[in-house]
Amino acid sequence: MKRISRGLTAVLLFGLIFFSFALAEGAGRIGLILATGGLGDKSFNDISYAGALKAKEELGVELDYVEPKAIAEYEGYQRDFASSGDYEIIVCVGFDQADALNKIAQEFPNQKFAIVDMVVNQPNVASLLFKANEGGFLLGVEAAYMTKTKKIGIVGGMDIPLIRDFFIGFEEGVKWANTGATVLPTVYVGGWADPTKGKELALSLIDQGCDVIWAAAGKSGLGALEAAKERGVFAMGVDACQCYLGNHIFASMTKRVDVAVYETIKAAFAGTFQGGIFEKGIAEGWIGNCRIPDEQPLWEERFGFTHTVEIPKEVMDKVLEAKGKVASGEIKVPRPPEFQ
Amino acid sequence: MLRRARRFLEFPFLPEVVAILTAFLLGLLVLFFTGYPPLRAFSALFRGAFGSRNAFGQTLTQATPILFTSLSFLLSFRAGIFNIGIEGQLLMGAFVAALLGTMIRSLPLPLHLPLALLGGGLGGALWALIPALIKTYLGAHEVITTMMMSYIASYLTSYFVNYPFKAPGWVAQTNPVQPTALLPRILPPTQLSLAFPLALVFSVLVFYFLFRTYLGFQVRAVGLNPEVAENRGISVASRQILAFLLSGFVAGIGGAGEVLGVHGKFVDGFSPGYGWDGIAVSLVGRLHPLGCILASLLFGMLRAGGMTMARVTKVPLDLSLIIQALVILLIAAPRLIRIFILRKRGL
Repeated sequence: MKRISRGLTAVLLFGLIFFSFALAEGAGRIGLILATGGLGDKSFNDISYAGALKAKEELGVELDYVEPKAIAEYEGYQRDFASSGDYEIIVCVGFDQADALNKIAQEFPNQKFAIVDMVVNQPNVASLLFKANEGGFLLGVEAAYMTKTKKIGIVGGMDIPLIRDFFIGFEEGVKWANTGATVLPTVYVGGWADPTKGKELALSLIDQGCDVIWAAAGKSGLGALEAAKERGVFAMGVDACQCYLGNHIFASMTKRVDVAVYETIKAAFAGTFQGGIFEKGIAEGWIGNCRIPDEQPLWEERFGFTHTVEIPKEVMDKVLEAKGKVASGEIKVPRPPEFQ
Repeated sequence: MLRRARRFLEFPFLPEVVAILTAFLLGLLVLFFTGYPPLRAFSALFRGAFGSRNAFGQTLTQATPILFTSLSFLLSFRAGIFNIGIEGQLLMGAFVAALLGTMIRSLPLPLHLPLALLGGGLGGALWALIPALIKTYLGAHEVITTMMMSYIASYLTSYFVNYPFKAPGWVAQTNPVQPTALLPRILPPTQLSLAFPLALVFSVLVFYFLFRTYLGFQVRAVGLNPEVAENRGISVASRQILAFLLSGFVAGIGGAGEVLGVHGKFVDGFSPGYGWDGIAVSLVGRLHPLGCILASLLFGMLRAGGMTMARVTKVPLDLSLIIQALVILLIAAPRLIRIFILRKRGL
């Protein structure tokens, strides 16, 4: 009896396992590995997901995504996706996946990958980068017109080229608008997750007379937005449209991760995928501004709110003029020396 | 027939097997009622755990740290100590190993690797020594102190890798460990390293120590009945401190194994709670080193398979954690099952 029951258990187990293999998934799917933080962040993850979803619906293929909880899980998920062989392309969201992807891309040289916001130098990886300086430029034009005290304050997460890129463009935009507004020297929080310090720094800028605050500082930036709300001055958002966070936030620079992800997936399925660095900006629609008429309804629908601050028509005309000139190359927005 | 039935009921691991099967069955029901395809999900779970060389490697990789932590818990529990601060000891061990691995340069592998591992073990042991001394000399119960020490370790290591020992870049982690301190990978390209066989060796060592040495016997005697042990001339305090140190040492080696074998650096938050899992795995493994091996394999399988399940069916990873929790719940009550069986047999 003992032997029989053991034998039976073994047969059942093996049966189950073999049955499992019979149900293997088909090829030609989209894989998406989100950044820690996961869906619902109303930023990077949600927007990347929106792009992948659009590709899925248009191409009529399946989309599988995971939401890793820790950086340490990336490598396991990437290998799990890649080794299944079911995926036409695997999109990895967020700079902190780069280390793991660098390894996995070499292990699976025939698998197509894309990484958002970081460079992985492997022939089978498309690195999707965004010309933040151009987005900063448009926002700078808006800020220059919206300030009454003619003083604008900016808060950065860390003093690194990636962040200086936003601000160089921004200052250039303020100058180009030529309204007599000036940007005070940038202050840096020194971390991405310190809203308290972000708020303190923004308050000190407001005390110096700034009435428009912009922050590119991750979570620390939320503190700066809070400070502006408290003092009743304007603020601007970054990466995604953040205007839903408060009526004082009148515009946001947008990194169109959705567009980049969508285009890359489409290219993979069309057979035109190429590895390498793809750095695009306003001309290609990878960088934008949530107040531009084509974009505004998209964000309002996505986040379920409406912009309340009116942007005067002459200001918007100026912004659109800047947009056109940057796209055509008539205006060359400078970048930090590290980017050349 | 009756005799056969009785023999079946006396199958020594019956409660565990019943518990595991019941847990899977309940898991299927949960899947069904939450609207996921149960069979597809389970097939993905098995495929992710055994379906390929990669899956198999993933299962063993996931089993490794929890085998270490379950041995750690076992060592303390057998001495009558409830060390629930294994997570902290693992983190401190991991951090010390990462420091030794990154800072020492130009040392040959046969020296560097053992040094980093040993350092990890000592880091864990020292972190366990604090609650051990507090218990012995101040009488504070270890359940409180070890848990508190765990939180301290978690925030302390997080601070270290966010500030003084942070590698350049955006991620809170240390610099990569020197190649001479890395545990060799044994099933490329998977993350499975020499840490797994090392964990098996430690299982045997723990078994030998507890059941084949006089000192181990004393430790167990203290755990079974401290008064009797004391009367027999065994120093309860010193044996409990010893058990604490050994427990912390094994936990620290487990952490070092993760750093030197899997990640190659200390990444903030690399442990999803291996220390806490160890407690459960140890109980499921009936507080025996060999049981710990089997139980940690089961949990490794659930973790590895859970990843594939999450990918293929969008069933959240939490669901495979629910199955784990069910296994624990059902096995924490094997006594009840036994009593029930005995009653049925009219004994």
